[in-house]
Amino acid sequence: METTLAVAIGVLTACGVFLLLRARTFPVVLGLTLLSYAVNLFLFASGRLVLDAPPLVRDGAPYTDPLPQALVLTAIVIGFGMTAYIVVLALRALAESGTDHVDAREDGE
Amino acid sequence: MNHAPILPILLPMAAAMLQLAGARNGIAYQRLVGMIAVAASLAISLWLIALADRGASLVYALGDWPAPFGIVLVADRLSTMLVALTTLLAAASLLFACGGIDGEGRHFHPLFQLQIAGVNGAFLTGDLFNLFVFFEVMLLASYVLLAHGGGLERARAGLSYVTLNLAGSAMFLIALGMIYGTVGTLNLADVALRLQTAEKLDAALVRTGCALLIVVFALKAALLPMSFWLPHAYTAASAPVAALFAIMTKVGIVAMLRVQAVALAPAPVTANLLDGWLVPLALATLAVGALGTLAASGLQALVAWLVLASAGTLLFVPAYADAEVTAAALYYLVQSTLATAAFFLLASLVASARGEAGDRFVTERPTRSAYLAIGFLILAATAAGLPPLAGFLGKLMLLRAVQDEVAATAIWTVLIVSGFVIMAALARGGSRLFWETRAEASPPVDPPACWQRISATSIMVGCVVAFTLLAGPAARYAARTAAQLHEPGAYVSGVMGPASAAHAIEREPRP
Repeated sequence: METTLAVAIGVLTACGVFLLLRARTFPVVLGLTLLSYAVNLFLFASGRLVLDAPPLVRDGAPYTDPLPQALVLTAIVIGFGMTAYIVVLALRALAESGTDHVDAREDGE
Repeated sequence: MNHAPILPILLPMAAAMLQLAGARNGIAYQRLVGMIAVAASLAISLWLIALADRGASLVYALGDWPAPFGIVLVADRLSTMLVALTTLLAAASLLFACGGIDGEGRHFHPLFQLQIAGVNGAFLTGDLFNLFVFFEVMLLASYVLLAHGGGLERARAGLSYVTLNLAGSAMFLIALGMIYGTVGTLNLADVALRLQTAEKLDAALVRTGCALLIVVFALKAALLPMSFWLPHAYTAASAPVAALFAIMTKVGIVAMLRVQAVALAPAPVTANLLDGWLVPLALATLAVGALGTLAASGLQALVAWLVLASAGTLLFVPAYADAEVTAAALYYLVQSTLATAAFFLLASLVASARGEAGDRFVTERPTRSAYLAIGFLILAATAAGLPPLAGFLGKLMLLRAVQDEVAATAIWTVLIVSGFVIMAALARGGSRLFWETRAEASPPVDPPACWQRISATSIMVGCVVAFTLLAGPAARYAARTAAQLHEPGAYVSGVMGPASAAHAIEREPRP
């Protein structure tokens, strides 16, 4: 379980960083999205991994830490808004410059 | 419970909602609401300073949830001082923007208010995750404000600025996850308490989490390897937006100062986290900023490099965690923020007085106005640290405070040499702007500057001068602020309640 999650976070982060370093805006946006998935999983794991337990503390019953779930929820909302904005900004840069290069100009111009 | 600490966040947010709801009433309505909101915020922030200067910090538990479980706002001397500075900058920038710039794009006013709410919240909060949220509120508004007015240059600068900050936010969350996973809390005072007993914790993970947090703050504060976004973004922004952005690098610096003083420095496991690498990088930032002023081709670009240089001057301060150095740095911080913000506004006035050439350092028609030249002289002397203005006093205090510390020679050398380089750059730029003129040049393209822009710029320049005249009281206030900041036991027991005073934090003497 821990191994699966760790590998998933690692693969997502690696793909996210790889795409983030591309020179076109679309891969960059995808890279940021993958990176935010990895970060959300990581935050989730910071409260320890517990299976089949509610995020409620009752006497003696197993429970999972509710705080990381609240943090992840906040992070998802913020990340979603940011992604929406950067998509719009990338489209605007494309419309103004006619290229989807992240510098809004082709190499060597 | 006194509700004053939350007002600097609630008031701009309420104003933004009112402006959005009444957007059909036109821009005059939005301007009115905005100006009333900043005027009221200014009064409240001065009242907060008076409240916090009594000595005890005001702790506001949101929803009345007690400290480690709920979110707290802490209004102590440091946070109230910076809230007042933010509000002052916002008032002047908003007045300047009302001179026509606010109409160049949509929703300028609500975003401006949200940006104020975000910056104030980042200064006031006592919770690390809440700090992340306010950083995001601040950044989200800044992304849109940066692109305000449109144009290819702003879209291009905005794209790299947004991408970099989104990657920074991801790193912030990773840092928070590591700190929560190891320390078990995100309340800053509680983190400070638990770091004291860190033998039980995994030291490597704790240190990595805290180091990542510092790296994120360094990104916002534009420490050298992560500072290349700043000059581009600040040059592309419109003048009032750039003036408000002058406080944004300071958010990172102050967050770093606060976390270092309250949580990291007193705990044995993280006490030496900033040693050895922060001072060289800060000095390199300062050197690059000073060299950048020489390379700048226009006045706004030059001021953007000045922002970087002032960030470099302040960034070595957290490494010392020493009350005397912090006190000098706080005076320097306020005056450099005021001076750079005033300079951004002045650059826009100069550009509109010079016609097609704008603020570029090329030969163009004379500006005709002696006031612009006098304003430039005052701000240039402040930025270069020449006597008798506030920049000189700030730099002198800083040099005196670090003279007995490690690396004092390096700091003295870089500070003084970079001050000289900045002076040379400003002298060259100023002589191009005001003296090298030709008669047959192009007519001005913009309409002549209106009273809002002129009075906003005059207010900011006046603040720089006033801050020089009031240097004595201001420096004493800075000293009290620094003493309070470096007494983490009081902060912790203020937030966590007197029960935690049993294990109050005592500063370990640094080896």
